[in-house]
Amino acid sequence: MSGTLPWVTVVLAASTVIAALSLLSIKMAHRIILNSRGVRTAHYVAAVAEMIGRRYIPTDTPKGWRTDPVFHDILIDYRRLVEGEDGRFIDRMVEEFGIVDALIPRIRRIFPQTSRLQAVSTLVELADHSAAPFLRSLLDDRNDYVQTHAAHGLARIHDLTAVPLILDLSTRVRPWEAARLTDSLIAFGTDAVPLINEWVADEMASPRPSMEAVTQSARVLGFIGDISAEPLLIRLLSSPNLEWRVAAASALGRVGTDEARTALLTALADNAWEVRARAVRALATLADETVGPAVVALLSDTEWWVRQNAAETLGEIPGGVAHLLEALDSPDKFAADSALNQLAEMRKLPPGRLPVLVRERPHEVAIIIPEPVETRPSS
Amino acid sequence: MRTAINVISIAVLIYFVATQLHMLALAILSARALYKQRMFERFGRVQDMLGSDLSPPVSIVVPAYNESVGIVESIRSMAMVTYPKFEIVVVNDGSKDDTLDKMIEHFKMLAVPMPFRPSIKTAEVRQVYHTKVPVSITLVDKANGGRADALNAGINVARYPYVMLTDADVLIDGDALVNSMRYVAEDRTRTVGVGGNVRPLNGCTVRHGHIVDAKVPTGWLERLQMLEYIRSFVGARPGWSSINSLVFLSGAFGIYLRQAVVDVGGLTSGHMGEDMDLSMRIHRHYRRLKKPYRMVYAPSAVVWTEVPSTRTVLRRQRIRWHRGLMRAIWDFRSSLFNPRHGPIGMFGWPAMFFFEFLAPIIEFLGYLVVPVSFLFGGINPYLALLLLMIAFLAGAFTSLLALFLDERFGYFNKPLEALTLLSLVFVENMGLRQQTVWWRIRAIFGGNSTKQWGDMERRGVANLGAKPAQPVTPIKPVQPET
Amino acid sequence: MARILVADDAATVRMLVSRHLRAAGHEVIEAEDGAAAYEAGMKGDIDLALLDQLMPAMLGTEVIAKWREAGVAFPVLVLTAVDDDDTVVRSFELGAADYVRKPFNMSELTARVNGRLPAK
Repeated sequence: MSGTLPWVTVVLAASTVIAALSLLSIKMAHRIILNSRGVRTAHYVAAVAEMIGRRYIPTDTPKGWRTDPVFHDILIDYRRLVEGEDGRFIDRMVEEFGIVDALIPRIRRIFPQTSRLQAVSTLVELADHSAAPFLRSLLDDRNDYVQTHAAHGLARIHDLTAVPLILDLSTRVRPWEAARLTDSLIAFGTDAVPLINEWVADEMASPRPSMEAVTQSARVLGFIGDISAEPLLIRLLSSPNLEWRVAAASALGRVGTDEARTALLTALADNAWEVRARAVRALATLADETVGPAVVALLSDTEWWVRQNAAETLGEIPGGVAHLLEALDSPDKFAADSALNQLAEMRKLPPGRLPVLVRERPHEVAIIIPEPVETRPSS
Repeated sequence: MRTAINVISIAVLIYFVATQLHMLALAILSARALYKQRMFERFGRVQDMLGSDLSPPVSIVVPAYNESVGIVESIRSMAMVTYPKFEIVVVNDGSKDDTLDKMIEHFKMLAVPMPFRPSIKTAEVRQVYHTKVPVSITLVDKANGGRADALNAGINVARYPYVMLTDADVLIDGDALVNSMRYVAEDRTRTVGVGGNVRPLNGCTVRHGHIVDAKVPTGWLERLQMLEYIRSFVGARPGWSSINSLVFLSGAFGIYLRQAVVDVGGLTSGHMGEDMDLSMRIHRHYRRLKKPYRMVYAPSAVVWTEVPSTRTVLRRQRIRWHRGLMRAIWDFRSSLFNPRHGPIGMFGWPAMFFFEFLAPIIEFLGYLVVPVSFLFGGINPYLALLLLMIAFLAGAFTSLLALFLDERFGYFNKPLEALTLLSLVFVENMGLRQQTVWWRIRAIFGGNSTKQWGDMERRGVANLGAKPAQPVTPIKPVQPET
Repeated sequence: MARILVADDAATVRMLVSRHLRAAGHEVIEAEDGAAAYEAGMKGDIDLALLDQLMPAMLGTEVIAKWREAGVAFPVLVLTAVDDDDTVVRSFELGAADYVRKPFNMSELTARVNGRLPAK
């Protein structure tokens, strides 16, 4: 043992010194990179501003710009910032600089991952329709970030043939990735809705439909907001699958018309509280005279969230506040509580109806104190 | 006698090797976890999450006792967090200064009859105030009860399914909620807790509640703490989290599923390590129920907090921490090496016991053994010196590893700062660290009761770096009223 | 020919907008965050301000509020990507003269600025 100790010490000492020096060098390198990036950014920002202003791309721009990720980022920033003529000019710039052609080989190289991912995310923001086949091929990539980015890119260039491909892909990945993929469908907008409807119908008819993919599709249909999705969503609302009903209930709040109202009213009696909670919230935008009493009934629901949502909905529909005020007198303590909560939130509690401090035991306070005071209490 | 010394020496040696190995293992695991997380942040389209349905709402709960100096600035800065839906619940724990008045006046709050369910028992709540500008802020005025009690009251009033427990002197980074809640969104059914990264605020330039420049603090005591925080939050926790062994989330930044906290009865009053206690109870709760769950760490969810800058306050803090740890070890002793408690029982908790709790005792023995054996001639002084050097170098090496991992955050790039950090790594083992060992020994074996909370001189988030305008009177110890 | 304050934390936006305004013959002061914008506005002799909403140190709405409290009265255009109605309403309540959403048309922006400038 006494023989090895000195060696151990030496090895340790050497490693420590090397570690210390490496750390120093990394910090210095980091600093240099940041500085350089800062300088280049300022330079590019000014240069691009000039070009946009003058609608002129000088022929003598350095070759290095074409492959510089900082330059790409600046172009992306500007692309997001402006529209119309200015936006089209930036597209022209991208074309003239041949940026897409510079990115594709970098993406084809498998290593290093970071540079590859960086190139993909840039391509997605700057590509035009000619990149569609390449982007579609990226949907089959091994890396799920690449897949998701590709989907968003296809949405940006509005390549509708990719919609079923993206949906198919979402059946093969994990739930989180499926959600990220289907997010891209939102950017396709209304044009995608018939395609999604068709795909979901086929999927539901298949022997083993992907639960996650259908759920996410329903969610996305809600966000796109086109009413042609309504029949499918109503159908999902009565499916035996819980997740599908939940997603459909949420989505119908955004997409629904009078047709949906009946289905949602039925859903208020669903066995699962998650469905009831969302259905009652969805009715806020679809209310007519029949809705009020049905929602009031839910103020006595066993689940807190459902009661909460019911009260919130009542706060928003015509005639709902009257129902809430009535509920304050309800023999059901939970209904009264929910109504109280909501009216307090909306500052619509009538003065005579304010709750009184009820002290049941020294450390328990059941409901809070009286009058809202405009001045603060003296300490 | 000689055999006794030899036995102790070998024991210390084995312990020492075990410590270094475990820290090395953690560093490797952390490196891997940090890499994956960085990839996700750059390319996982986290910002999309902000716009969609998927961001679960959060209630930030802030206990406040005699925080008059900085409470308004602090809450203002919290309000600027970027997150779709959140609220702030401030609990005035019977402050003796004008904390309450300052809050009401600045935010133009109104007293409201806000009904809530006291799911956790707390000291008496006197009044609730509310405002919607700039964000939904609820102020709970209650009788004094200590930090745990105040947090419990805040949790009762909180509306949202997730609560973030923090402190009044903490500066929350703008992206902290997005970066931490994404773990919840990713796995809603299983995620019950997310812990964040705590960095010392001392020495940083703060302007209008934002960190403008993160600098290395000027005092050696503060620098020591900074290194400790980096070792723990960057070099260890990501690793623990990746094997699902995260024992506890920091008290300055802990997001919990509200229902989970209520189910275990809230935080324990009078416990000096109430956050560790809460986390362990939640772990136990889910293990008993045999429900799959996870508690994770979010390396890029950063909060900044003021660390003690004087020996006295630091000593009290360390003694308090170690006492809290001691009590927790005792309370949860059944988890040690208990396979029914999963990775926590087999790795996380034993590591806490051996490498955190026992550490000062064994280190102390180690320091004793060398001169004692030298006196009794049981050991070759040359060898003893070598051993000391090895200990010294190993410590430095581990710290360097942690600093390496910290590079990914990109702080401290100025040459002077880099050199200061390097020197710190070596200087730490020349007395600073040994001091904390002594304090923790005292924590275990006696000393007076130190039940203070809020015993730091508050300089307020707005004034850090500058001398306080008027001297702040030290806060007297708080006895929770029953 | 007026003095215009342009405040946005993104260098891209600042430079682009400033360049256009300068080309239109105005003098432009740039600010990188809310606090700098506020201070520049308080110094006086600004004729119009273009503020981003989401800035570090102080939000656009906060800056406007503080200016109005101090009695500073030049027209303010809020320029932002933030889309929620609350912010729009709040901005107008606080006295913003106009609200321009990103992405925008540069010439349209310049025209609106010219339209809002007080006649000299």
